[in-house]
Amino acid sequence: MKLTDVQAGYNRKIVVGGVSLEIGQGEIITLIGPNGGGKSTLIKTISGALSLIGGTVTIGEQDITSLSAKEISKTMSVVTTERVKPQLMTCRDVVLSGRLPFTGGFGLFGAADQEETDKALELMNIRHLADRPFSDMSDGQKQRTLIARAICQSPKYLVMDEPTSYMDIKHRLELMKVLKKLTESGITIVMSLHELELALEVSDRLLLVYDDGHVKVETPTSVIADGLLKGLFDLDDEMYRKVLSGLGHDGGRHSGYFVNRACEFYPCHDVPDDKFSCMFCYCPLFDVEDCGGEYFMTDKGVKNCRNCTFVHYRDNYTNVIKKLKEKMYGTD
Amino acid sequence: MEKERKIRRILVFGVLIILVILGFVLSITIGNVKISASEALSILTGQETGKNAAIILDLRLPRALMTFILGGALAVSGFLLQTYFSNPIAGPYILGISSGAKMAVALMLIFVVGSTGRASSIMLVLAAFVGAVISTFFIIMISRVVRNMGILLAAGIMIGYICSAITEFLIAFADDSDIVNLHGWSQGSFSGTDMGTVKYAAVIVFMTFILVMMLSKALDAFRLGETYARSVGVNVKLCRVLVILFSSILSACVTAFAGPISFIGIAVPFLVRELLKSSKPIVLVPASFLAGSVFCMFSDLLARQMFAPTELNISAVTSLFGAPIVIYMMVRRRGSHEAY
Repeated sequence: MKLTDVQAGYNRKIVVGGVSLEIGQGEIITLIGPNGGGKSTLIKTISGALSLIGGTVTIGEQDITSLSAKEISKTMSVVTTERVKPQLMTCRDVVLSGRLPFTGGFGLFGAADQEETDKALELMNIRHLADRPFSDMSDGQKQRTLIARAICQSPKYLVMDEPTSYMDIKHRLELMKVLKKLTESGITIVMSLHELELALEVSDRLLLVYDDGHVKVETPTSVIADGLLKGLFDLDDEMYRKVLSGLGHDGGRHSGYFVNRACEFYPCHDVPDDKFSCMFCYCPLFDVEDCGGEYFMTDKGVKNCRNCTFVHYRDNYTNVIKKLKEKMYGTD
Repeated sequence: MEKERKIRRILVFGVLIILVILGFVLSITIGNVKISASEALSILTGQETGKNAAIILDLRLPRALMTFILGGALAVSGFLLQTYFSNPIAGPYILGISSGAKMAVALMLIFVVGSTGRASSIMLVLAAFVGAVISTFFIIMISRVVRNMGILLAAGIMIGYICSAITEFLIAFADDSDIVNLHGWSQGSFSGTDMGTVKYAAVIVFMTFILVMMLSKALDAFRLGETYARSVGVNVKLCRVLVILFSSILSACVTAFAGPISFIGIAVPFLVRELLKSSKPIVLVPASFLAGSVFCMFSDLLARQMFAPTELNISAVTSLFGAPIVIYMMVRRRGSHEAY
């Protein structure tokens, strides 16, 4: 896919301009930037929901404006932020509707379509919800269903506007894994994200969409190295410092963490070595069964906390103390 | 789930077909002159001729066929409008489309027929179609400005009142014969249907029905809204135009031949959706057609027989049964805070 000097906007009013970018197969391009900067507008223009104001978008060799909706539907699928309210459709029906481009004149689904649907349901981990009415699902589940629908469409290009919205942290991380997996099979992904940490982690390149409508194409490393986030989101020094520390780029101030590799239980947690800390074992809630975090017991009888940093958050202090009290005096 | 749905489909279609046949038999046999089913059968197969044969072949058969055709047409027209406005309470009557068609037919009857003294079926349908398209156009304009479905319905009802008022004015100024012509018809009635008009209606409705069926894949995609419909390859603009065109043809046809008939367009698609527990157009469109036919046939039967020999207008009956269903729909909508 190639964007050449694309200008996007509504009613001939340009919101984002001068976007030139060549996207390779299997790349993940993420749009980041402040609200109202035009991320959605650009996404909508790329997916063909808005018509181009200027410039060209080519898919393969062909100009997108020369392709019919039918032709586009066979190479590109979309997830929008629009809230859909279908009547009497189950989760499965919604996912299955992604197969419509491959059906005949009456839109009847065959066995192959059902199979693709099963795969997509499995991939998005919503198989157990397949028969649930769409209207009864939570917002996060609905979002996962719509992503499964887009995957089910067997696209070459997956275009998503804030796919992580409504999802909890676990499903966001899972989605990133799924997206990585999809790119391995050659699918190209263009999306917008609010979560900078996810964007930096998962993307090959970032498209910075500024408030005034100009854009920059950068790699995740250059975004941090050149301090571009500060200008992009118009942050002051303190805010920027906080953002960076949230992203784990605050100059290695993890001095309180240590690793005792000689410990007989090492490595007791599923954490990469550079993030490993024996402070996990000093967790005040280590022997509390209902500690509020996610964990399982290893065969050595040690709690494996799976990235749980519940007790490290200041906001959780009262909860930590409450849990300790519960353990000492019982729930009454 | 899929299996359950299949069983439901078979059951619903089975029951609907039985009801259509039952309605047909009752429409033909019941009346001021009681004719037994066996006698009716031998008349229909041409083995018997006589006074009763004339009653059946000239009066009751065309009427039964007409209620079947037009009832189905109304339900499908309502279904299309509900899809277009993504609003379950949309229908040709409540949005003022039937009234628009009625006004256009009244104009035609008074000015054209008044001067030439003749009215062909095709002229009636064309006039009704023009009227239907004009009021649909107004409704679409309003729906562009206001997204609130309550206001849209109110606007539709207002358009309906305006058209009815104009029709009333026209009647007041017209000659006597035209009034007689118009008055019975403008209330909605199937009396006086003959085989010639049945043929017209059948051709128009069944052709449109087939075209609607061919549109069912696009309508299926529309269930997730416009953006997603486009993303699976539907030409959204064309599809919207076709939906409005077909629904206008269907409701115009009904209005031209039987006058405006209320509530079938709203109540029937809703009931069918609930019965099938599915909103898949390829199932819903034929099921709505059959259910609309059943609703219309039995309503017409009641209109004929309740206070026989006085005939009620059919909208009185359809409103009596249809309006409570619509009220129930709205109450339930409130309860679930959802768009349907």
